[in-house]
Amino acid sequence: MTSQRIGRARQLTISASDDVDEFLFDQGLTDGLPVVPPTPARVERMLAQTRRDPLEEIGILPPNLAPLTVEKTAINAVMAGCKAEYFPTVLAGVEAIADDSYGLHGSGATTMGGAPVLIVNGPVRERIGINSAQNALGQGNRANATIGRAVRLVIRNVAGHRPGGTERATIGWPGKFTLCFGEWEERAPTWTPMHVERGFAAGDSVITAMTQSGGPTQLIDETSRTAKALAGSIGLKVAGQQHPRIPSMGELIVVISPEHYDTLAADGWTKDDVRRRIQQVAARPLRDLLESDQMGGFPKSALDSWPPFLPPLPIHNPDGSLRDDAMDVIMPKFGNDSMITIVVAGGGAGKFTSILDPLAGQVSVSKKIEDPV
Amino acid sequence: MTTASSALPNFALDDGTAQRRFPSGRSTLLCFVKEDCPTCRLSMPLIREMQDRYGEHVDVWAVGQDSEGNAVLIDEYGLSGPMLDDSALKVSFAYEIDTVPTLILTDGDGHEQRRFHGFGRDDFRDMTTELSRLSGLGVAAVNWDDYPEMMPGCGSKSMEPGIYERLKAEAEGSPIRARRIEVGQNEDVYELLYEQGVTDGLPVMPPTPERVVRMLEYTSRDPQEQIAVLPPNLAPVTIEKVAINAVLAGCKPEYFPVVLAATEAIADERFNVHGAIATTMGGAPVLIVNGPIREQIGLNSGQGALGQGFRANATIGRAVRLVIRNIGGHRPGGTERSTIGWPGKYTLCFAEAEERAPTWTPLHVERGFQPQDSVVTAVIQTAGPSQVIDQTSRTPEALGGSIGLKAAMARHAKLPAIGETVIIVSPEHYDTLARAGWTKDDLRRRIQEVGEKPLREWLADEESGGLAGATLQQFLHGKDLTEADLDRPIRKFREDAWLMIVVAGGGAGKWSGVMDAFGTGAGGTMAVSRKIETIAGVGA
Amino acid sequence: MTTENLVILDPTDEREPVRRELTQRPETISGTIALLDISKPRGDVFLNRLESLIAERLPGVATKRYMKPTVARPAPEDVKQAIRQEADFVIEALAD
Repeated sequence: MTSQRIGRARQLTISASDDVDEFLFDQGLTDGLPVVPPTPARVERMLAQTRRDPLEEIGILPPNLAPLTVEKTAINAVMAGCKAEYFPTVLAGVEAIADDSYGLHGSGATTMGGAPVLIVNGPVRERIGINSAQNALGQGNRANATIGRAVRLVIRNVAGHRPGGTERATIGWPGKFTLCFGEWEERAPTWTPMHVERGFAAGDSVITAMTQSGGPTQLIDETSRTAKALAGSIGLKVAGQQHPRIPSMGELIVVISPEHYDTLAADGWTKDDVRRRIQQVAARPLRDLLESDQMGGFPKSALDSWPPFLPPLPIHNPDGSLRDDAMDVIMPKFGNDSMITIVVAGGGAGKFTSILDPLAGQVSVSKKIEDPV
Repeated sequence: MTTASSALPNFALDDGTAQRRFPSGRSTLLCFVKEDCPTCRLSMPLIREMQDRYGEHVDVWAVGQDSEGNAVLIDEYGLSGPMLDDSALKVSFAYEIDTVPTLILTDGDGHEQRRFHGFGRDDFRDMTTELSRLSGLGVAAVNWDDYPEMMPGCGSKSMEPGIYERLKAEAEGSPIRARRIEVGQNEDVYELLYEQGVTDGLPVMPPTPERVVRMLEYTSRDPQEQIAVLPPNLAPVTIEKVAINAVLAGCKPEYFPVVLAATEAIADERFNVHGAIATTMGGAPVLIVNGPIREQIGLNSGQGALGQGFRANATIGRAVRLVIRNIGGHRPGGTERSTIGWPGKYTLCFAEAEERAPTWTPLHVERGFQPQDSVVTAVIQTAGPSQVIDQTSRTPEALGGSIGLKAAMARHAKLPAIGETVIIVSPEHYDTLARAGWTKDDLRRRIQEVGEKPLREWLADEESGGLAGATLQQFLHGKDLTEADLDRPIRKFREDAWLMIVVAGGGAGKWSGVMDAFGTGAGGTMAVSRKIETIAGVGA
Repeated sequence: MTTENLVILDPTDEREPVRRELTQRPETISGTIALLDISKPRGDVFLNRLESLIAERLPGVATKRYMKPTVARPAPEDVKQAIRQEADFVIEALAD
């Protein structure tokens, strides 16, 4: 087939006697699971879904510092198993992680095991079938599964992050295969959708990439009937993220199920109200957090020297020295309410809220998704 | 089948002008050859000589393994006798030919009289003597000194990888019973598999008969053996069906014994896979592997053990999930009712880093197996792992305390009586605990100690949810709450033994992981461990 | 051997029939329509009527008749091949 849109990618010829599926494993191009062979015809179909030039450079991704083109994104999207109509969402997803402020290198290289969690808002969800309802964070939906994986494969195959190489996760977590879902905006009509909170128009289709380092862990609360009590439960759970006695230095995703939303919304609570309650419940005076030889916690060493790349703590004077009343200072779990991202997703039945693990110092990025061709 | 008393399989093959049927009623010499084999070429003049000299009385048939090559041999060696076309390789396969040339002499009823393979000068000489005796004709005039004493044969085409498995799948007595789906010339097999609904949303490896046969080579068990019946479909789970799903998942054949053992574990009644998958909590089997098999097949227990990038980990966990989906019939939106779900529902399988934690008892030994046994343990978890950071604790009490505080957050900070919980201790955390002489049991005790609170502190109140309703009643045994009850200490985890502590992860990083439990015990689940079959000669 | 179709094995419990995606429907009709009689009674009556309606309403479109030898078995490969090569559409007189 002659190619109109294929750009510069090197073509590998696979002999008829070779097993193409095994070949792709042997080349180290997969995450350990099978991929769809990226034939020119399949890549063409992917590229036909964008107006952008296949050779357009989206970014230079560390550690390989290789230019990421639209075409290379398409090849990895094919391998991930994407349908062609997912491609604009994948493109916006890789734009987000390629953004300088996202900090892709640190997110991949940390021993904490960072991985981009992708949350999609707007009409694209329905157009391409992104699941925001039952089992939204689980398996079984092609759009969720393959869009998240396409971004991961770009990180592996173009950026060059591989476990054992520059990817240094100690334990790792299965979200590192793929984790992408939609916010169920329509099921939470009294709440502001995430993309609108982040400055987009409600009718925009937007993807947000946020580095998380583990989870989710699930909160069960089947008995609370007031917003205050339920958000209190969520706050107690959130307080345990990373370490129950260490303030979090990263952004956090809280996925609230529809039934929990109903309880919160019935009392007129907004996302901001929930954030405030989480902060209220999770905050502790420093003296209750400090580590001892009997219990881990806020490191004593941090009292005198706080790393400058992390957000400042209220226990220090402007010159960095410890305040006299530091032990009485109420330490919030998060320096800023906006570090708590709240989205509604999940099936109609089940009183659960799921919380992911933050990663210190990472910054989430949202990108608008191109309209269909 | 090659004993002198039983006849060789019948066949009919074309020689270009006529169909030759075996047995023919006459003594027959079958000469299996392929064109690109130098040893066959060395033998061809002798085969032609035997055809020319004895062909009137004995059927001397060359059996060639590819049609173009056969024409070349006929042409080059001036063959006038029959050259049978076995390019379909079915006869070569049925005769278990692994080397060419192979010469087999039979009587008129197809009973084998004599066989050799490769080139042996004496073998050929004895064969011509035998043909001379059978035909009553003189011995062929061959200058034997022109031939080397011996030359090893070449591999039969029927044994080539890919071809052998296809032949086996198609042969009589094939292990394959599953419905065959033909993929049209213009159909995209990956899309077809999506359309069948047999994937978890990610691409699968097409389960061709060749690949399934290769998978089945790694068990000694009958492919049609039914190892379980899985709900909700209550369909019989045969070894063949498990093999098909293992191919789909992307498994290498050597992973198959682990997949089989894991399937048996999840199909165990105590495991209650139906309840775990159907629950809105989102249960999924987590597989933990111990013993020598880890190294034999490359299961990762080190850096990123619970993450992506390692084929054995990724595909073994996924194979079991696909068995649940495709044979059991659980699908999200159907009987699978997870409210939120979690990515461990694609796959979650890892190995314990036993060697990295030499002073601790490995999981399988704690569960009654021998250290050298290879064992897979399946346990239902409902989310996670969520990590606990502790970079500064230097005493086991402090670090164990941190892990305990984190574990105390499971489900709800104020919900006790938690079931089986997987706790992944990283090597650096292990070092801190082991340096002080702590065992897994010491860590269990510390976790329980940290998580214990008087009943009053567990109770739901207006500030937050917590212990209430039916869960509270479990602690009151049907009686009213009294002041004395309020002081009663309540532990976070019902049984110490339900804390499943395993060491895994990379050498650097002071984080451990805690997973979310499902209900354990009656009405819930129990973890099940199964020994993994090891087959001599394959696997390692 | 290269022309042989790939065969895959069914991983399910086989209670559901194999699903195939339908070919995309063209927006206009042109070329040749195959009219396939599967040898059921009165299939010819139906197809005769259809043929005249097509001639009347779609004057630029040709029709061609095909027949399965028996209703009881799938169409033989040569019939399928002929339709594939000679026609752009097929209408099958399926049931009596």
